Amino acid sequence: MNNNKTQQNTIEKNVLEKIQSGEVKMRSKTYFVLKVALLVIVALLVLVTSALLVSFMIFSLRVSGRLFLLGFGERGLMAFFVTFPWFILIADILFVILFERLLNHFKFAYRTPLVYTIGASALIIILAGFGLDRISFHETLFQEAAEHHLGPVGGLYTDIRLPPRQEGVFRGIVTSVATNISAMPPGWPAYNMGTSSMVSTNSAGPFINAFTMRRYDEDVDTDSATDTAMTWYVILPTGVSVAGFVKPGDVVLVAGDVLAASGTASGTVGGNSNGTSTGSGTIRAYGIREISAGDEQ
Amino acid sequence: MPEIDITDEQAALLVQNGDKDKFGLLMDRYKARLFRYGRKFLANEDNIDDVVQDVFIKAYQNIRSFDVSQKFSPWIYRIAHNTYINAIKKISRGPIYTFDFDTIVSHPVYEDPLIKETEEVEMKKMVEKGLGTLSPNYREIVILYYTEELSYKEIADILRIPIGTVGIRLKRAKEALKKGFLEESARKEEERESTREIEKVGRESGERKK
Repeated sequence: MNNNKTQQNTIEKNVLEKIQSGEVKMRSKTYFVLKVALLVIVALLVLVTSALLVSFMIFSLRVSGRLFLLGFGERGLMAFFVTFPWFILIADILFVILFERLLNHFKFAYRTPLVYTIGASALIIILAGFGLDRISFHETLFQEAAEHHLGPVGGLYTDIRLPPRQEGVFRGIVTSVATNISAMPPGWPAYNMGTSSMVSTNSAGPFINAFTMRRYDEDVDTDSATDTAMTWYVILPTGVSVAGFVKPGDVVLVAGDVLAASGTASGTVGGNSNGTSTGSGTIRAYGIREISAGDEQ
Repeated sequence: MPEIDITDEQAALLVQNGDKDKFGLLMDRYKARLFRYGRKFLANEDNIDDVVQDVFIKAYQNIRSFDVSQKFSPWIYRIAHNTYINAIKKISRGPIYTFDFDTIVSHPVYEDPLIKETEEVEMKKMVEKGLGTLSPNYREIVILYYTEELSYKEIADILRIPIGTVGIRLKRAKEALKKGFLEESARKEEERESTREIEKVGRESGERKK
């Protein structure tokens, strides 16, 4: 017991000596105020970055037309999940966790169960993300990127409307319509008329309904040949008639899988290329949506 | 004002304003408590003096961050908690605490003073005997509640966890202590029984020899 008291007294004496000699000094009030201010600023930056990511995710889903896939049952849902920007979502979840960890320095946060602080943080970020999407923040940046004003960052925006490689949503302007054809036109990849579920039959034999479209993006210069050189042959599902449904000049979104393609699709920005794609391919469609009607009849 | 009438918070305010000697008063009041907390929490730490000294040095350096409208004890215990955790980290290789799932959802909290009073004597006995068997996160909460006699709210501020988590962690620690205590009692009873059996056999064989 006495040994304990001696130990304690020695510590007290040592600490007081260090204080009196100036070896140990009090930190100023300003230091702590700045520390809290820095914490608040970092938390706000994390919040804003996270909200930007959410709004970009919403914007990219909307602009690329991937949201439209949700209306096409299991196939559409699968394609939606495959083409979903998971990387952004994961990055955003990490930002939510970081935001919650920063908030945890404050009494109101650490006294609240984790499920509520994480939930509230996620809700704030999602609402801020929707808010940013509503004020056309990304629309403006998208235009800037299309005009090559954003440098390397612009690639994030111009890549949004690049046609997918295998499955997803393809945006295009209808160039010609072919009804009840029994063979692919010359120059297009062959299509097996015998086995596909896209093939209908009448007295004249198996036939398909199809149309051709070229890549369409209203935000890029449509006069540029390289921007719109990708041409697709779209084969429609059995029972879907092209006549009266799509006509040349219509801008459409096509949900489908690529059967065959040639050419390139690149998203380089900052140089000469701006999300260009060239070549041709065949898409087996399971969903079509008209975005705007063309003038041609 | 005589020193005995000065509250911890008033003393802290005087230190903040430059009265260095009043820090001695605060050390006087907390040195025994922080030593006791440290000894129990850092059971394997040899340099407890250095660690406690470190707590007081950090407290002095950061005293201007203390809000004098709040209670002083959770503030200095928070510094002690962080310093002790760092000391444990230095000597152990693995992580001290894993993720605590009890912080995820809310747990109802009810501190019944009557139950607390009747349980206290019994629990303090168990704490003395079984503290070493508990994992660090349960051990610390038991020390803060039964040895340091801090409230749930104060413990929540020291450990920076929800008040409900303090309650559920304490409940689990008590169950673990009781279980350990019962197992130990049963083992001792078995030992006593076998000793009595041996003595009885010895007596009987002695009588037969006679």
